[in-house]
Amino acid sequence: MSFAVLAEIFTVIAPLFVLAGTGFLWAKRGRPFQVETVSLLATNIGTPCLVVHTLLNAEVDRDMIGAMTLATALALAIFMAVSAVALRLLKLPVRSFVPSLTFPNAGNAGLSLSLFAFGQPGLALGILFLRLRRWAISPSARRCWRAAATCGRCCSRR
Amino acid sequence: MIYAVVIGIAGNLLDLHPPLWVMHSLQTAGGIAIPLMLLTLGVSLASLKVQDLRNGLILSVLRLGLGLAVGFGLSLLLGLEGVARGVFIIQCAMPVAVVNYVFAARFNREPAAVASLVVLSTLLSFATLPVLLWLVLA
Repeated sequence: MSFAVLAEIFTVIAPLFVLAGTGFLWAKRGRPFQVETVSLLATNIGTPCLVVHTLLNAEVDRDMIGAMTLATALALAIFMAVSAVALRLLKLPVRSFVPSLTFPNAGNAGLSLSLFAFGQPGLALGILFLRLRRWAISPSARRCWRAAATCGRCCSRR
Repeated sequence: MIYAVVIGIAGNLLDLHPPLWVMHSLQTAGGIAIPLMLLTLGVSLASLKVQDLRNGLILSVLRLGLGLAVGFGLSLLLGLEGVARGVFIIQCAMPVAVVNYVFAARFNREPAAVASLVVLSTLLSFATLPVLLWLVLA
C-alpha cells in the first residue's frame, strides 16, 4: 500500500470522523441539538441547494446517469432478496430487518464520502444513488415491495 | 428533493447557466448540508443504544459484506468505470441508514434492535473504511 494512497484515504475519511465525532461528543456532553430542526434545515434548505448547484455544474456523462440509476435499482433489489433469504436462514424476523439490510446510509455518510473521494462529480453521482434509495424506502414504494414479496411467497409455495 | 434533482439534471442537460448570484447563493446554502448531516449522524449515534451484540454484529457484517460484494459485482457486470464505479461501490457498501431506525420507531418494528444495527454497522464501517477506500481508489 503506497504512502500516497494512504494519505489520500486519510484526506477522504478525516472530515467524516471529525464532524461525526464532533456531533457525537456534542450529544454526549448533553448540549442541545434538536435532530428534528437540524434535519429539516438540512433536508429543506441545504440538500436541495446542494443538489441543484452540484447537478448544474456537474461534468457527468449523460450515459453515466442512466448507468448509475440502473445499477442502483438492481443493487437495492438484490440487497432485498438476499437479506430476506439470509434472515429466514438465521431465523430472524424478516419484515423487521429487511429494510435495515437493504437501505445503506447513502445520505449522511455516503454523500460525504463520495464528495471527499471524488469531488463534485462524485457528489453528483452519489446524489443520484441517494435519490433512488430515498424513493425505494418511501411509503409509496413499500406498497410495491409488499406486492413483490407476496408474489414471491406464492411462487415459492407452489 | 425530487424537484431539486429534476431541476438540476434538466438544467445540466439543457446547458442552462443561471446568473452568478443564483449559483453563489445555492453554493453557500448548499454548503450547510454536509456538515449538518455529519453532525446529525454523530448525534444520532450518541443517542442510540446497543443491545443483542451477537445478532447485531452478524447482521452488520452481512450488510457491509453484501454491499461490498454487490457493489463490485454489479459495477463489473454493468461496466461501470471511474468515478461512477467508485461512488456506486461506496454507496452500496455503506452501513445501515439511520432513517431505518426512524421508520422502525414509527411502525414499532423492533426499534431497539434496529438502533443497535445502525450503531454497530456504522462503527464497523468506520473500521473497514480505509480498506474500502483503498479498494476503490487504488
